[in-house]
Amino acid sequence: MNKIDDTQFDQLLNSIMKAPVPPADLQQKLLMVPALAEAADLQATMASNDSVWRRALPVAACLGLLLLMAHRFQPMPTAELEAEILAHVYAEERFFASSDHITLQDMNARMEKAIHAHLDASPATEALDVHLAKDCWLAQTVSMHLILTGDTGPVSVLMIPADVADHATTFADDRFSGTITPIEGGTLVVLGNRQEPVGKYLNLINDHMQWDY
Amino acid sequence: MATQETADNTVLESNAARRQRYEALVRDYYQDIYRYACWLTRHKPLAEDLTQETFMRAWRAFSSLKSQDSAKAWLFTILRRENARLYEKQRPELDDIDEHEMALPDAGHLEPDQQMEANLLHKAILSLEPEYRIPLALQVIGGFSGEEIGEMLELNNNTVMTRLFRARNKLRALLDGNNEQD
Repeated sequence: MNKIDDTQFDQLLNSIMKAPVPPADLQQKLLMVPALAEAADLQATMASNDSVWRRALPVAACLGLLLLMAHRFQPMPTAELEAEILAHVYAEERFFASSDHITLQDMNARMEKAIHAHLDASPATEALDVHLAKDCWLAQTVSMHLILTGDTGPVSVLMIPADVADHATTFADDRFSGTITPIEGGTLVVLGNRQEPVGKYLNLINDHMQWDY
Repeated sequence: MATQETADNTVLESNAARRQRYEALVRDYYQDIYRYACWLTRHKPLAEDLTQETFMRAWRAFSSLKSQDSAKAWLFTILRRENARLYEKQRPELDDIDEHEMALPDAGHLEPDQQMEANLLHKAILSLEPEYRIPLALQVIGGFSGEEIGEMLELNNNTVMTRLFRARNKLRALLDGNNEQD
């Protein structure tokens, strides 16, 4: 072999030191870090507080177990999505008692900003008694969380602008029941007390929801 | 009420913006961070874990990143500290590097002589002492100057430049010695 000059040496050194290629799924795992940190923080809060959080401990434990089984940064299957949704709703439960009323116009402004979608104005959507409309982080996506007054109690509507479910499913714990439904442009989750007829809100929102492409 | 909503929106916007900045950071730097972790640990599965720990730590400490311009050096520093915190004290220094794990990818475009040189240099870098290998990795992968490396490793500039010079000399000597034998 011939001796290589300095330039060739530097090129060779450069190519060798930059040769390691990250695993194909590493970027995706790293993008999930905020959601996992949020879930871990939620678990810690639930474990350290009494009162409201005590009811959520089984959910936190379930979520933790699922995360453990998924070995840290694995993508979430449906069961984990359900657990994440339940954990999120318990975390936001403090807003259930709010007496605020958010107008359709105000709600649409927040939806536009967070997920680039809105609800058509109609008597049905104008009649919704919405008292929370905020963005949130669900399924690795900036999503929208509405809390509205249902027939039997607060109803959470979660609008995820990503296809995170390939079929409609229902899920429940000992307090809430809900549905996860793939819709055009994303996924719609509706969750309420176990007696709540969530289907009517699912249909109402789905019929009036418009994505701004 | 209006004030509360405004405050809520501000917080929410800042959370969304924070996520966006974090995601940009991942996209821009995760490959270099992983590469640096490989040369730091000389073990790919460990490098992957360390990369994840680094970004987890970065996310939690995101508010301490004052400027996007310093993001790269910030991440490299987090990685080195996480490695020290998590692995250096708990893991004995690897005497036998898993050469299969750290094998150089086959470069089909190289002539056999060049491939041999590449393999030789690769092994030589792996066997460099950390005091030489780490500054070299920061310079080659991160593109940092001697002064920046000094700040990251808490060394003065002269020490860094000396180590970089010696690291290259060691590698050159090894390559040249091998070439002379041929």
